[in-house]
Amino acid sequence: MAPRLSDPAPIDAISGSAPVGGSAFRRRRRGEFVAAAAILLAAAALPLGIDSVYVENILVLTLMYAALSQSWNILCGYCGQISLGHALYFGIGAYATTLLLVKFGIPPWFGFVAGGILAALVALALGYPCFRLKGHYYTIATIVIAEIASILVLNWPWAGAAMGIQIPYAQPSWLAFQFGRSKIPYFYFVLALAAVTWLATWLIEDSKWGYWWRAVKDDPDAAESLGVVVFRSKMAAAALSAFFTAVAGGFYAEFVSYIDPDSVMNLQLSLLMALPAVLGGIGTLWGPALGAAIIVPLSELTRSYIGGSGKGTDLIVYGALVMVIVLLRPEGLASLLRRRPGAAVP
Amino acid sequence: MSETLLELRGVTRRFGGLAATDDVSFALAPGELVGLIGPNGAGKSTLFNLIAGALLPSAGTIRFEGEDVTALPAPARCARGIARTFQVVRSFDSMSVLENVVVGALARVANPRAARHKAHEILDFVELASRAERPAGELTMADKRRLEVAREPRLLLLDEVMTGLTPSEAQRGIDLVRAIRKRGIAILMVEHVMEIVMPLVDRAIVLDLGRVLASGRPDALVRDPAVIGAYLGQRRSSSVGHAPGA
Repeated sequence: MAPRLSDPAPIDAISGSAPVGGSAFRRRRRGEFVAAAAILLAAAALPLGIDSVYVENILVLTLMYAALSQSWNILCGYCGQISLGHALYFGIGAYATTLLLVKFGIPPWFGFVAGGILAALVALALGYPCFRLKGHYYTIATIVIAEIASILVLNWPWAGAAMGIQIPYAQPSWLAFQFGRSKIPYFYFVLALAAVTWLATWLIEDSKWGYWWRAVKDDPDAAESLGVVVFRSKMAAAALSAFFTAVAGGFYAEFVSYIDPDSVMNLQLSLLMALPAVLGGIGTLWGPALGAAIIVPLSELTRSYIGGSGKGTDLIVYGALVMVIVLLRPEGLASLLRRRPGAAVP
Repeated sequence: MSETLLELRGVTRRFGGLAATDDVSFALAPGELVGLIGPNGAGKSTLFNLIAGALLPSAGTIRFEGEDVTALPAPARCARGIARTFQVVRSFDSMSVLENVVVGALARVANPRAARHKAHEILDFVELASRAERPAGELTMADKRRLEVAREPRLLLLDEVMTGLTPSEAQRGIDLVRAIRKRGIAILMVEHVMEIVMPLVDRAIVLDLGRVLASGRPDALVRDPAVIGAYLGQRRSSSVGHAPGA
């Protein structure tokens, strides 16, 4: 019997045959997690076969930029608020960790967390006025604020001003986060940091914030009409992104044991955080790590093989390679990994 | 429980000296299907924005299910069950069709897994289940319109959803509107095509210059001289109406 138009249909009856699409989704999620775990294990075994300090240094920097770009990707890739001032948060982490250690003798482990929290708070304070700006205007504001902060620190004697701060030598230990000449412990720390930022992104992808951030990126007005609180979404993304960026900043300070505004707060650093994600695939789970794995070694190798006396030949080659990748894969290298949606289902 | 779902009382919105919506009062019962018509510039879109919370009124009150929602912003109204579509179709093009629906479902179901399940159900209902995993940007105009109504609100505001559709697509659209209404969802629709809106709705509200000109059953309205003069007359006879069509 066909139901008449006026019959109030029970809601459950209409949706009788909801597809079991959830299982394909769960399979994909599990696959991502297993792949990441395998990569993590393989990466953890890397130092066993390497005894070159030069290569270890490249590995540490690669992982650090993977972590940084993954953090940047949270705000800029998922939530769509392009920041080119993330060096500010990196600098906050570096300076907080270093000043706490040098001035108050507080171990770096505490500094990492304190720097992260401070950066998150600063991100919220800056987001409050700046997230009223849209698109390019927001991006310009982030550049300007980061530059101002850098100049302020440059003229702040207590924080070392232009002279910077040297981290004094300490007896090697995990507590002091100093290991003599060995780079291996740094490698494992930054590997863990990169893994944590990846895990955070993976968890975000299937959380309310993940859906909301992407909606905000695509169309804020439509998002708002669907119940997304746009402003709060941006604030949450900014705080999380700033936190991880600052932890990496604190790590970097300890790793190189010397910081000044030029090395931890300059604009180029902000660009270098964005580049791996843009190259690898902005707003994708694998993009930042993939981009960093290609771009950082590329930058280091061009510098050491054709840099030096050439006065910038390395940068020309590096820039050309980046352009080739962008031209061939404008949507990012991660798109090479992705199967066509729908084609995956057997 | 009150028999009124939505109640507007004296709702006015001024832009500078112009009152785009002027002292508008009407009520909607749960499950009612009402058309909102009027010539260009009558204030239909402004009224939609006021009900959805994209604009706040200069004066007057809006009540939804007995609660005063006049000062609530759009997301809070959405959470209470008011959903709207846009004149220019909107979708989250970098996300899959399913994910588009999940965004809306999350306003009421906090758990992503439950929201996904709900989204599958809704997609089934609007006949988009087969495209669930496709990027929303790949959808045709007609399917994007279906995506826009893929929600489960208490009140659905449809802003010219039939615009740009072929006759057969529009017919499927009408069927969908009827199906939505059958689920007990109240609908307020702005539509320019009289042939579509008049047979469909229980009741129509005619706006002109920001004010409610008339309200009632469609068949009575089309004979109302005031309505003909303000709106329908522009097409049907040249003796009434504000200006000849250009």
